[in-house]
Amino acid sequence: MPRIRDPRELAAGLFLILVAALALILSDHLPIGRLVNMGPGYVPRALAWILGGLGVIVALSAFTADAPADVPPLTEWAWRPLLALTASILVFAFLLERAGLVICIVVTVGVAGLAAAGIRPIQSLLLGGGLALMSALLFVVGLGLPLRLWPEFAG
Amino acid sequence: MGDLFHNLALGFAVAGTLNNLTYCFIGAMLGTLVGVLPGIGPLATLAMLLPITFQLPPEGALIMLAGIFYGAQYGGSTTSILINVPGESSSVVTALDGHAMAKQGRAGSALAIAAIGSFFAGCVATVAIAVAGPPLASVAQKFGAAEYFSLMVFGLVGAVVLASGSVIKAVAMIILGLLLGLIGLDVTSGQSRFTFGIPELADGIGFVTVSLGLFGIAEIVTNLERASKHGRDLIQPVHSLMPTRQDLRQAWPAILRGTGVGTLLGILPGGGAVLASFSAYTLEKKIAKDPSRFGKGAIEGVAGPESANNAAAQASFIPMLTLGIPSNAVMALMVGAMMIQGITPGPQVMTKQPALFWGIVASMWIGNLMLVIINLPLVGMWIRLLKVPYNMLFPAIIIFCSIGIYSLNNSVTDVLFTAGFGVMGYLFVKLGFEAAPLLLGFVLGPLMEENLRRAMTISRGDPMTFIDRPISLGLLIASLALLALVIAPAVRRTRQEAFQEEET
Repeated sequence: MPRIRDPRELAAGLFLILVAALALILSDHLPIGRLVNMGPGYVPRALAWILGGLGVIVALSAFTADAPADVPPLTEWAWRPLLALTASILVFAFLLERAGLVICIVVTVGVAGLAAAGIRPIQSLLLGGGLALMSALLFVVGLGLPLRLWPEFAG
Repeated sequence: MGDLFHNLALGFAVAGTLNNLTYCFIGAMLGTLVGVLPGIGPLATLAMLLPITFQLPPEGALIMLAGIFYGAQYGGSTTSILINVPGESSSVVTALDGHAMAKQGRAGSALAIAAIGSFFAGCVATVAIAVAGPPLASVAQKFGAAEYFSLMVFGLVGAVVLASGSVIKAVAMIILGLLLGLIGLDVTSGQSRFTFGIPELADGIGFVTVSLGLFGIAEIVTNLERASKHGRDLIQPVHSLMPTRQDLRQAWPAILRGTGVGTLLGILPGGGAVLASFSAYTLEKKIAKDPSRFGKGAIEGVAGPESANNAAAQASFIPMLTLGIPSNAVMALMVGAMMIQGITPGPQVMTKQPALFWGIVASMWIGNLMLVIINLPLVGMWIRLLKVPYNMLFPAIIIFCSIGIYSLNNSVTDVLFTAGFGVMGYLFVKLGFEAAPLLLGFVLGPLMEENLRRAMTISRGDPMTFIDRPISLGLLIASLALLALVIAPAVRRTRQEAFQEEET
């Protein structure tokens, strides 16, 4: 068993192979057609095979060359910002039409604030309030976007 | 020649209306405003501000976007000179000598030379577009499906050369982008592909969704990751904006050379601001009598790259506007913006919508003039902006991105997809993939498939059609040559050196 010298390349290669496999499975039912009259499955499948091939090359290169010195190890993930920011966008999507722009922005900013250390709840609240006011003026009053400001029961 | 003046006159008539001047001004202003913020490059700025232009008429929207683009680019230079945090890769080299100058108390001189150089380069590049545009477009009008397909291959190969990392991984990103571009209903057969039964995916994934997720959201995550490790640099004070006579004398030739390098590299596919500024810096260092001054505050090290990146930024509009082929990720975004406005980029834009085409060209010159006005007297305001803590900025960016995405189609699903692409963008950073080639592939995917199918049908299924037709053959040979150049070990080494200049 050859030694893995560059784990990041191995992971990158496997990722490509995975996506290629997924694309092949999903385009399985699409007719390929012939060169002169290509079906909807021709190009997707061709691309998937190329992608998988490239994935194999990238994955194999993990065994032949060392990782460049400046590459951080794959184990370091910025979980906190990643999860907090993703969650904040999901919260935005969930609240916008249900709770209106103002509440939605205040809550979204609160969740996004969890991404960085050292943001106090009161700061988040003030920033959220300020952004809500600004967005209401800019997008709803100024640009006339059809966004609801408050939840339905509040008028 | 008469045509040139006639065309430019038409352009200035369009760009000079009060509305369009206002859009241009607002664009340059907003672009500078966001571009100055540390850690936000032109691509992220454009993606973020794109939604503001949806309501505008096509000319106004594109003029404003072009303004945002130069504004962001110039704003990035200000940031890298004053606090040594380049917001984008094309101002990395500006930071080397620009920040050294700022530390010596010559920040004002560096800012002024950067502005003058950019303005001069912008003027030259505007003329270049006006001169090179019509002949290129008339060649392109003779293109058939086979030529278009080969042209797109050439453009994508150029994007690989541009990528700073592994060539194979850049190619993989292009292929992945092409695949993502195919999501939705197949135009020819009406069958849905990769839609997972989600009705919103029938029209494909929105361009803004992909670019905001990959560049906007993922960038915030990496910025926060970096911020937790490093502190912030001090902001250097600006004393006087007047460059000394010696600075001006040394800067002029560098501005001329930078403009030349930038204009040429900007036209090439895959070229653009990054490559141009690195090349200009290397050139200045090579021909300098005393190369050891570089990195310690040499004015040529600011003047050359700054002129080059602006010239290239503008010259890269040439292939986009005349051939409809974006040569880098920023232009891919402009193509996306044009399509949102219902304009299909290509040679027909110039003949069918001359007012739009020449209006954009003329507005570039006006925009550059505005940038000088916005940047030099108002520099105090931008400095104050640099003091805004990132902890206040990023929640605001999240809000504006989310509202922008939602308002595009009034669709919550689009917002959810943006979150998904944000995660994907961060995964790419971790796995060492560059997202820019993916964006190019994503824009070109449907076009490429359509032209490939059409070419095959016309040639009755004979793939030799790509080789039998001279223009197509030429483009394919050029692509192969370009690819061979990158893979050849000698070039690979210098390419790495050019991109590693930033570490030193």
